[in-house]
Amino acid sequence: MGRARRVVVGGLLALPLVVVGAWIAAGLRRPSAAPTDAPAPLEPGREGDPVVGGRALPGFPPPDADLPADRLHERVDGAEDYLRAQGCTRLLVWDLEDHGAELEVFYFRTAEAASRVFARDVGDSRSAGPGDEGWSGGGSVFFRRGSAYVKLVSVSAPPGTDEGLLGLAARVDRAIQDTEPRSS
Amino acid sequence: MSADTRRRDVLIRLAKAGAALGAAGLAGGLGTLSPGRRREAEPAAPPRRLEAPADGNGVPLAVARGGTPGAMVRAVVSAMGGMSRFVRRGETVLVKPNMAWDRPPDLGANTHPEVVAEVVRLCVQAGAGRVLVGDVPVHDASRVTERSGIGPAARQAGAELIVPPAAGFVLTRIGGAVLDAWEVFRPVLEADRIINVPVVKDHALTRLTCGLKNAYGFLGGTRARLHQQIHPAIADLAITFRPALTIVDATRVMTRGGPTGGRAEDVRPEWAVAAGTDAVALDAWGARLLGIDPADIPYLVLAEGRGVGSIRNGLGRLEEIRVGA
Repeated sequence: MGRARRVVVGGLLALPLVVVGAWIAAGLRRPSAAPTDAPAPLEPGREGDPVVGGRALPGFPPPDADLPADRLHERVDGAEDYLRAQGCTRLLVWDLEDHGAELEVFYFRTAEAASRVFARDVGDSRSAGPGDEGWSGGGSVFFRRGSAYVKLVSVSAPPGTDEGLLGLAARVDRAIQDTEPRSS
Repeated sequence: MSADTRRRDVLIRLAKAGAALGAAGLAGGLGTLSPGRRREAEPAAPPRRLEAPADGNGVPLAVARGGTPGAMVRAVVSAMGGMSRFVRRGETVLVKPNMAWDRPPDLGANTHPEVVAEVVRLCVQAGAGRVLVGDVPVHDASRVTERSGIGPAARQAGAELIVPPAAGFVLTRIGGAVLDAWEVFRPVLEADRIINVPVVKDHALTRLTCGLKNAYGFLGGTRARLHQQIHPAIADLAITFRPALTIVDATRVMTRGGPTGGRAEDVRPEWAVAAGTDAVALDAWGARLLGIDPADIPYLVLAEGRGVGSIRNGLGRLEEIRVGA
């Protein structure tokens, strides 16, 4: 009888913990939004990231966005998991208004990873241009230099000439190479 | 041990359990407020929205091809019975394009500006009191509105352009399968009607973005947190926010590299516009344009299962309106 009572009392005492545990589990399963505050300030790169990914490009203004891996969604919204899985450590973004172009530089841990992502975007087509491999046409230039993957897109209407973009892409390519000796 | 002693022990244990429960509850409450967040009031319930005419004028969706974007919009809205079936005099209408990307119109990342402008004009002609064109862009809002061409086109057609931070967000009870409460763009809650005007394109995560995925633009906060459960989250949004009418822009279709894109080579001129009240059917139609079986898109299957619409209505041989150039 005494044992049965202890079991009942123990069960009653455990009930709040069960309820709280279920409540926490339900909360984890049904996410709520973080209230919308001002955009988070730019964060420095994580320790261990390639140095090249933590530097802006020589000869270019500071980037408009400097996103470590955990903030890629702010720019790519939907592709962040894929990019992180490929080893993307950082994304730098410039709005080059003087050139009517937008520049994105994705840094990866390896050149092979950068090449995979580049190939996923452009398929089998390649064209002459900057970088270890590249593609250009229709107002955009995509290329890879080492572990950096560059997307340069004309955002002016009508699009800028491919020649103009290729000249700009060549500058970007040189700037990336200038930073490479400092990479880890 | 006497009965009184045992009772005292039990009461002490219950008191300790109560204190633990209170402490756990407090800790749980604090757990929803990470540093930098502010305590919010209880989430508001989503507004009850007037449903679109149930019969869709006898057709689940209308498709037009050829001609200008504006002419195709007029043709499909006319086939659905005219804009006055969906918008009443004096109402505030939110026109919701895909206006999330810092990209010019030719790249197909955003809804075509002429499609948006024509929808605005039809709403104005139907007697709408206010027509708002709004979205919560991923890229910088001021650049997006201008470079997409939607901002100038919408204003010229008589709309008010609304993007954050011009209007705030309201923590809103969604009460969905995975989406409990979230920050919702205030115009979405305050409009009498929503007209969804998505573009069809490839998406890295969901394969397709069309009408249902476009509802992500109703939300603020860190939307990427939803990406782990994106399919049920989209289905939750489809049930909560039902547009009066959906008009799909397929004038050009981004076939790869979505949602951002950036290569004209990946954009296929399709030169079509579709409209309807069955949001699932319209997404199914959009999926077929990308060569995707709609049954392979989990959020479409989930939305259909929850009564949002019918995949079958978007398949088969649909009668298309040919619009002269």
